[in-house]
Amino acid sequence: MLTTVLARALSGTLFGLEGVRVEVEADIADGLPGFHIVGLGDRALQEARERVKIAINNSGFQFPGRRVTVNLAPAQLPKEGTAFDLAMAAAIVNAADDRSLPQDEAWLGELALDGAVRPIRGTLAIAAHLDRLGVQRLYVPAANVAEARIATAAPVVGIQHLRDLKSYWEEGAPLPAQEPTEPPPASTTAVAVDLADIRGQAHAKRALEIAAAGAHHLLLVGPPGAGKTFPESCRRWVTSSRSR
Amino acid sequence: VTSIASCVGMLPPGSGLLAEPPFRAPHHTISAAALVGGGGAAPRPGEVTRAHRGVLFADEITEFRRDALESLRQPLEEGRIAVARTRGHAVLPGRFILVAAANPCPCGFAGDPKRLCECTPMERQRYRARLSGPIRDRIDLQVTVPRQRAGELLRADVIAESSAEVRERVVAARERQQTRRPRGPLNGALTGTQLRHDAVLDRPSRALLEVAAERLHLSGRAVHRVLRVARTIADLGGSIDVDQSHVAEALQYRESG
Repeated sequence: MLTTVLARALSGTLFGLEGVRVEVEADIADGLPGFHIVGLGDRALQEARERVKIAINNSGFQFPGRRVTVNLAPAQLPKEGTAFDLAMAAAIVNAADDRSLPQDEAWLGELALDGAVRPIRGTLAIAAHLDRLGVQRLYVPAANVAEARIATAAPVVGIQHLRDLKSYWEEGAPLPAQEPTEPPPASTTAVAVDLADIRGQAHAKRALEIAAAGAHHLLLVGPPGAGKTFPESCRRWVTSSRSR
Repeated sequence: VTSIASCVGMLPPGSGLLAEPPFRAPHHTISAAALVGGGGAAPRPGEVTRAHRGVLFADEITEFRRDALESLRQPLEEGRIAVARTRGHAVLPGRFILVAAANPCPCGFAGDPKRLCECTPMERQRYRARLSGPIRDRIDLQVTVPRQRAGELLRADVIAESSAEVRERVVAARERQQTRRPRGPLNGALTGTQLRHDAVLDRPSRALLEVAAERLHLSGRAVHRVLRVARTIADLGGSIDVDQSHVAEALQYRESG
């Protein structure tokens, strides 16, 4: 009798500002029911046990009543955050049903208790890194799709709810990737103050202009109330001239 | 690259590339770790990195904690910051424009033509010293902002230039820099070698800079910074070469420091 089953799901995290590939392994073995996470996780990761377990049960799956161990490899790299929730759920659900997951697909996302998938930080950097590693399909929170698509040419699937994955996992019906749409440019802030509204201070304004043109550092010295801080309100305006 | 925002959770959900450079204005009680990046175990980007390719505005810069201010030295010069933490280290980008504001002395009125400064020379000296030489040295433009007379403030007939006009010049100047160095840095970040190539001085302007450097005791770095500013002034004026007037204007922004 087979007493232990294993499934792997690919995920990623941030280190500094770089994406790092993380492999999530779930093992289900006979023994006292329990759920353990190893692989240098921080507090948010230890708490993932509760999130993942409840989310699985609330999404039409059954959390296995056996001994579940999740390992995050490379095990020596400290990991933090909640981006692994979805990958953990993927590994556990599929280990329980004795299926394996494609190793060129990656999973990112935080789970809510009801199984909804919440946005995570750093999708862009992680997606860029996974793209370099040749990942063919990316599952991310629906709110992070636009970001992920900037970084990768591979199909990006936005997930709203863990439940959405049921048919894919159980029947093998692939989920459609979202149509590439032109992402809405991030909003621009309106600025109330115009340079013309600032009286005098021609010298300071000129310095401001030079600083903006050549990316120079600037120090303004003056008595209280002279308006040193004032240029700052329109500062934003002057610099917004550059793209990127 | 600007979507560092994603990593620090500042990107609005569902949005694409950011079109506007960041503007960060940390309060002066900020710690060094929050400014340049820190965090518990793994390196985490700080304000410096959040301001990458944008503006870092430090109001009341003299009130910042000493260690926080000094930690700005590396990013001011190199445009990046090395953060070492117990569980590994990372080099984070941090090429920002520092805009700082300060009072000339604790009471704020030193050098004011109308109102007397109430500080002792000792107090003034100590206050100035809060902005250390090495930091001061790294700031290209140093400007005194005098108080405006009430009459000047209330006069409505003088029409100053609007932001749009200034912006046009700034954009043009940036384009000129880009044509010169399509992939290279803006003037503020030119290396010494690039600078020698881009800002060639004629004889009179060289003489001017030499005399000024001598008289103002400018460091080698400060001379380079003057040159960079002169290059930008020339770009703003649409001039290909850097001439004496450009150097002279650039020098003006050094003396007040």
